[in-house]
Amino acid sequence: MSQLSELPASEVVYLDHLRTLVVDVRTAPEYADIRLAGPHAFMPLDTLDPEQLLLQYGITRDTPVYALCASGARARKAGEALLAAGFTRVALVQGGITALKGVEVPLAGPGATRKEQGKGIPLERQLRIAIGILFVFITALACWVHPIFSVLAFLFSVGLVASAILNRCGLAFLLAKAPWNKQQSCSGSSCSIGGANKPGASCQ
Amino acid sequence: MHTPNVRGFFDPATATWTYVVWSTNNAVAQCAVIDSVLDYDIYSCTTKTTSADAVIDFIQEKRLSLQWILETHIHADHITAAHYLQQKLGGTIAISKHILAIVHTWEAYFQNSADTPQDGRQFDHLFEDDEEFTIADLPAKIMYTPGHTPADTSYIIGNAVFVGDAMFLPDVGSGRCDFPGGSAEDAYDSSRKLLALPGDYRMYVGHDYPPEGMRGPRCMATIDQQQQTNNRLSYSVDKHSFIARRNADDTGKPVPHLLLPSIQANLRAGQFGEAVNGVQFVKLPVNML
Ligand SMILES: [Fe+2]
Repeated sequence: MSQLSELPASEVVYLDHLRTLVVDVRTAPEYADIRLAGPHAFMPLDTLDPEQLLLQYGITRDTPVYALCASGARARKAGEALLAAGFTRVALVQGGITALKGVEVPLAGPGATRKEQGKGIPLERQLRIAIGILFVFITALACWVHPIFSVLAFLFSVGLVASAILNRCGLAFLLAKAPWNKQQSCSGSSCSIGGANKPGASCQ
Repeated sequence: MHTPNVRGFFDPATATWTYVVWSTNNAVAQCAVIDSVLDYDIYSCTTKTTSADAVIDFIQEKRLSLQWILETHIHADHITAAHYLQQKLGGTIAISKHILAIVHTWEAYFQNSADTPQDGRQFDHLFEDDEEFTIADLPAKIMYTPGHTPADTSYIIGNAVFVGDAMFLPDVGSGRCDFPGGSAEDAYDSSRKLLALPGDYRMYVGHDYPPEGMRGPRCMATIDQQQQTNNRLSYSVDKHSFIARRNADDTGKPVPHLLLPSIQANLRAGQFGEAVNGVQFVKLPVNML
């Protein structure tokens, strides 16, 4: 029987989906949350059926197969089951989907975008924090330096009302430009993956 | 009954499944390729052979020879690599005789009779309905399954059937029927012919559009599964409601991005037509669709 090998997460982006198959063996909710954006198989460990994997994904027993789970434990079990069923080239993805979040590989699902936003505080909350700090500062100036500074509070309040009515916020504009709010932008003419999956532009 | 070996290749750009089919009997190392893909970039008008080369590499690794290059229909969403495969590996390019009607229909759009023979001789063989043939020692048979287009054909090979866009996997349903000459009524009748095959036969589809977040692209469901669970064409759906839903869903649907380049190249079995000083062109008729 062949041996189960291991693939570093950073290598997944180089896999040729025409010649290999990644098999995601996590549960349906985990899969719905975050998954590979490119072609792959989804077959949870508890329903893993090597014969069905062959038939439903059109592979052969000598197609290189890479088992993927959350961190690597279930992928090991799945990989061993596939080897026992006569698959000859089986590996697991080291560190699972958790490790894939840290490397250059396209991911899909709500969990994939949460990754980027989760690193920072959303702009709306940053705005509330900034305004709060400003008013603490103005109040301090008005109490301990000179009451005239309370005019600032008045001006700011008018500004807030105006920004809400006009739906234009100068402070949010400044905050959005702050370095911690910069996100990697897409290159190329389109950011969408799997354009063929949009019904209408296809044979569906 | 013969169970063929099947290797599927999925092209995510067009959601197309290409199949290599061959016998489990190792002594006869001949194969068929069904619905190959020539990669094409619509903006730069550039072709690539990445998808087709994966198929070629596989055939060579398995030490198979290419006997048949089969098309289920004149595709409207991708260009076939039939011509390229034949140049590289040989083989007979074959399609249903009903494509002659498609050649005729599109002549009005492309004015292409000069480089697209109206008698279909650009294909090596035009199948009659119910024609029988073999892939090595595998018995194979044509089944005429129009609807998606008026010339769709399914290939029954051993206990597997390759249906192109006549039906899709149970949770996807079936192919659109709004192309010229397409008919939801025909599609329903074709599905009944397919579902009358033995329940354990394997149905391989020409495309898969997996529901978002539910699964990856798959290629096969059994006839039993299709009878019971196809969301448009299961046995619990009557003809009238299928047609009503199909036509409603197809109304106002955008054309596939690659429709015009695909149709004209596919009518020439994947060639780009007559060259002018060595340069070939894609024709885009204005205001014709
Ligand atoms: Fe099609």
